[in-house]
Amino acid sequence: MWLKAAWALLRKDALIELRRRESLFSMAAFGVLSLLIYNFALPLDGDSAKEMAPGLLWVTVTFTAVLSLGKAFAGEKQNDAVDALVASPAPLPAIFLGKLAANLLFIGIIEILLIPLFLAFFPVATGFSWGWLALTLGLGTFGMATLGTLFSAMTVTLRSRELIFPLLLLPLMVPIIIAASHALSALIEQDMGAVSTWVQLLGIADTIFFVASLWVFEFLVED
Amino acid sequence: MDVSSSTSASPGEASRPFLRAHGIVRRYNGVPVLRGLDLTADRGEIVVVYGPNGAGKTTLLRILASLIQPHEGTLALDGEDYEERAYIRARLMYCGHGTQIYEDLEPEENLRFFLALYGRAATDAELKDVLERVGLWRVRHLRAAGFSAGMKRRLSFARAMLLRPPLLLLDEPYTSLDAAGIEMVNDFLRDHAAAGNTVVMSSHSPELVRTLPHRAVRIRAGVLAADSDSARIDGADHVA
Repeated sequence: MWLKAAWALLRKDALIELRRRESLFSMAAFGVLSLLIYNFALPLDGDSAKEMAPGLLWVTVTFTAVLSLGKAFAGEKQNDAVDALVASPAPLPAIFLGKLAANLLFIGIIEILLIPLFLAFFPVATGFSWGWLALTLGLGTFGMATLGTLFSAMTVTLRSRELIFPLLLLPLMVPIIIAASHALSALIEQDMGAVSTWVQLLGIADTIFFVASLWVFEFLVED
Repeated sequence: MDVSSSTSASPGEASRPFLRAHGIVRRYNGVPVLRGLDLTADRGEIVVVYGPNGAGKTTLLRILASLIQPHEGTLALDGEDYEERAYIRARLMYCGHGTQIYEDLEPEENLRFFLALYGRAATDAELKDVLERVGLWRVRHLRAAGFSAGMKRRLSFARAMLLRPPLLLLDEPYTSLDAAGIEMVNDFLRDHAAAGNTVVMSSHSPELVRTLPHRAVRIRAGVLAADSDSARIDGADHVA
């Protein structure tokens, strides 16, 4: 029941996005433009690129993700579809997981687009482990998507949702952005000890946010 | 697809109402809307809830759907307390003012998604049958965004026809429907109740439910003010 309901939600959201191309298009445009602006506006060469690039990448990913995350539950308000979700026997955590999976998919697609551009624009050494890069990106994205999914549900009924959503979400994302940026920076420096430490911290933060979000979501939806 | 068999009454349960709401109190911003409301419904019964605007009909239906919780009172379905959410929600379906339809999905996609939430699936033949009954088979490849309000309401109703829940909760189900649509809904409700399922619905129009065997109840001042078999509820009762 859990997996079936979560899969149905993921499939439904992906199908709707495929038809509307609303979130992916705006995210891609915003992400590419941000990297372009950083590339031309900042003196990124040699050591300065090594120091600034990881932070710039995560800032870009964060703001790009916020564009999509804020709309995660907005579609469920149309025609009161959320009532059918909540009144159904689908477990509430399964609904959360389905939405989270859809958000991960959308952000992941954009990251696949942005990473090659990032490596092309910023002169950083690429002799690092791609597996560690994927793990760092994956954990950072998971934490962001988890918090974003929860706060999207929390703010979906608010009139000034688009203003309040990032104001609530971004402060909580700070630990994830810091850990992910430092992990990426250490990876570029090929300091694997530091990479391991920051990735472990990311994992701990993700676990705390994920468990707390599942718990809060259930209370949030049940009246 | 029919889940009603899972709640068929044993001889010992025959006297117990299928749905029982007792002493329901619900407040909004401290103002009570429902003030100790009692309601029961038996298997195979259609209960129509009347009341003026703001009487609490929607609040009652949303409480019965477990979408909101009463501040006081108890609820039970088939003898199970509403605290058993998974049990309760597997046996009810709620159609509110909104059609609960995803406009970027086609009718079949909407129906398949809804059934998946109940851990169910429908065959192509079942989907075709239901879409023909609600008059949407010819537009099955169109997204619901292009549908009229009445067509969306029909699609919303098709979900109930597929699921056939033991407890069907409907808030103003005739909204936006034409005469044929109203007849289609009433035909289904008659069959659904005859199969031993329970329907609780709100309405403003006694004329629309006249052909249905039903029990009419009226909410006034947060409690049930009238409760009788096919009670005559005249129009004056619906003016706040």
